Amino acid sequence: MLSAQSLRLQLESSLAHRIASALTPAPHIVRAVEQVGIHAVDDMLQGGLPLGAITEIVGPECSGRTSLALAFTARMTQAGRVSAWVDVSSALHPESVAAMGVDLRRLLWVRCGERKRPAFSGKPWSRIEQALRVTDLLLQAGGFGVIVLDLGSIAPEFALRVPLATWFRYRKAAERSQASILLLTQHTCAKSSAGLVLRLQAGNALGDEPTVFTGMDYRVEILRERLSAKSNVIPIRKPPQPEHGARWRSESLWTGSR
Amino acid sequence: MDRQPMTQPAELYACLYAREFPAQALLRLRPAMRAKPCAVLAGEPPLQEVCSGNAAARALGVARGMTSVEVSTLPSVVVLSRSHGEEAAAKCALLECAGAFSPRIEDQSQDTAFLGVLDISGTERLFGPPAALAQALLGRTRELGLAACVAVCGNFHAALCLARGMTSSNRTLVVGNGEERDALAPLPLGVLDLPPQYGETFSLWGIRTLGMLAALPEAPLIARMGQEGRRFRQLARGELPHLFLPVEPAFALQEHFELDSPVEALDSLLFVVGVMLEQLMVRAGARVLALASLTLKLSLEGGAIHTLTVKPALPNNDRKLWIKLIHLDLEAHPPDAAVLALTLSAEPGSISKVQLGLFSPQLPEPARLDVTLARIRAIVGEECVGRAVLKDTHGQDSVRMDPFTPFTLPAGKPADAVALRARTAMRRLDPAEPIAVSIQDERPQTLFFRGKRYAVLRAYGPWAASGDWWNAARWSLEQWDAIVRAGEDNLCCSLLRDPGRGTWWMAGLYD
Repeated sequence: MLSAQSLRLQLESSLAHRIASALTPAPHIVRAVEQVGIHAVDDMLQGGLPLGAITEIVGPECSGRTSLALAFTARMTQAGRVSAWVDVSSALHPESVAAMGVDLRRLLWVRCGERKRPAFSGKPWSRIEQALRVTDLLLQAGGFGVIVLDLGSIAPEFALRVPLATWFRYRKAAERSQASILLLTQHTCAKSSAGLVLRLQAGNALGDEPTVFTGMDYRVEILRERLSAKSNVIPIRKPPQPEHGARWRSESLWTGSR
Repeated sequence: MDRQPMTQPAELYACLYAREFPAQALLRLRPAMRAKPCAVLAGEPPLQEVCSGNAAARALGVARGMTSVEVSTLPSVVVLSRSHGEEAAAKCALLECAGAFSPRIEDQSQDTAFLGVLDISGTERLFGPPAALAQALLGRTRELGLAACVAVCGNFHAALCLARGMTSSNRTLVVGNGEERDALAPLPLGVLDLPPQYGETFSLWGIRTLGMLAALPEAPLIARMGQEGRRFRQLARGELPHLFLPVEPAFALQEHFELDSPVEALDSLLFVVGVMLEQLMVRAGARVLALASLTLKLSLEGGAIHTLTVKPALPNNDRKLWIKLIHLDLEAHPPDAAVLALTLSAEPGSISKVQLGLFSPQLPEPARLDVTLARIRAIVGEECVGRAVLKDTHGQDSVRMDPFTPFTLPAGKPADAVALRARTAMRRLDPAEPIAVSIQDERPQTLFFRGKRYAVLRAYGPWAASGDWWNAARWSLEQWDAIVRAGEDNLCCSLLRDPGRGTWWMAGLYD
């Protein structure tokens, strides 16, 4: 009498020309993630943002992209990791960065483009090219926990002209160096090279106080998640579906705890 | 119990002698020319004369005092001009090398020879017997690219004479106490460096060696030559006492190189810089130090001096890294004219050790990060890379950029870490964009920004700020936070107003 093990092997070998490893579940790869520090977002992502992958944070101006990226960077720097912010439009506000808890000593800030020239005026090609070259160099150097490529103020017609091969190269480099690349854009650019795409909606200002701006209410949803572990075993019952959207309240820098 | 008597140890001197020093100093930084016959010319053209040469040149017949025309008749002799700057750097390196063996060194250098006498009495426990010390001292000078010889004996002047009389086949000589006279006896009178009139007199007397001079009776010699005769006799016998006058060699990591012709190609300069760097690293390494920063001064045609300074995050002795950093800096800031001479000076620092823990976060490799930052600086500019440091001001220019050095930080969470909360960050517009704002009841009603007309839904402010009223850079601003809408387009922005001029700017967007 054949044992269960030998029977299974026999079945698999006979089906091998049609289905590879028919009775063996696909190996479950646990991807390393790091919390963002915003509970609603971490719950939605079931852990946090992936390490060693590109995360694209898409949204219009005032949608909370920078706040989300800074919250993640703050966690990484407070854990002792070194981070880099490649600033295409010189839009980083260091006072905000410090107030959000980012250790400025561990944050490399690279401002692209010519100084004393409005970032909005003129074509941003040279700034984008500089930023892409700088990101390449940082990925080659290795050792950075998170590299934020801030194209948040660049119009989609310019950002979309970046060749897809660039994003693919970044993805491979990120996997190799285990650096998280956060890409802030107004429209999805990295396409299939992005491990996670988050779309943010324009935020609503909180009206808690009549005389002072107290913060924003942001909404985020998962547009694409390439790295989620999906089993090839189909369950009989439909499992509970995770949330694909979340809201969080973000306070202005001068608001104290209540 | 066996006790050592507390007596002064017997005098013992080691004389380090480097002959043909002008040629050696030049060839030290030109390793490719060491095998070729080289002659060094000194003096003002066209009255230049040979002052020094290497062994290959001497073998071809190059002698001191030959004119440049005579040298040009000899085949394949490379002619170099004497460089006092390079000689000074080489001398400094030799004194520093000798300083590693004894703190008491007297410099007896002559015009074309380096002579340094070390007081090595009492160093046996540190460096072993005198022969071992002499070998170690020779080894160190060889690392500097210089050929020398060492003579050790109990009398200062005898050590000098013995060193001068040594041949190239025998590089070290140790003479025991009381044996100086016998050791000096076969040496010619030339090692005494006699004034010409005395040399002539001895020659007429038939005195050719120190042994013959030492055998002369003292009283008749004094009667004929005076006290100088007595001194020469004591020198020849190895008995002349000496008051030691030690020098204190300063530890200055500096190398100087004068190019034979003006050079414009940066790559050619880097070859020279590489050789100079090696010398500096050998000297720093001898003190268990590394190079912390390098300053390269280029003397240009026209008299200008181009200076550049390279300072990596951590001191190191990685030649390739230094060359790369200097190359990138030279590419970013090229000299305006051809280069005539180079002076490379270095600041020493303690050899860095980066201790990585098993569970500590991964950091960029220091040397690699230095090169990466230099490359990034070449792309975006010097002032656009680094870590942001907040100034103690509420004005617009409240940030400065400092070098990015994450390795010096303690591991773990910083002590002054801010509690993490969901906050709204601002994206600033650099520089702030001027906007048109219509006012109603002293509050903004509508604004035009980037070609769109926005209705102001809510405006918070004004928050007044001013500063620097005590100087010309006085500033005064009103800040507003505004929620604005144009169709589906919502913005939450920070506005600035100059109360003096009444102009408005968009300073940033809350994102």
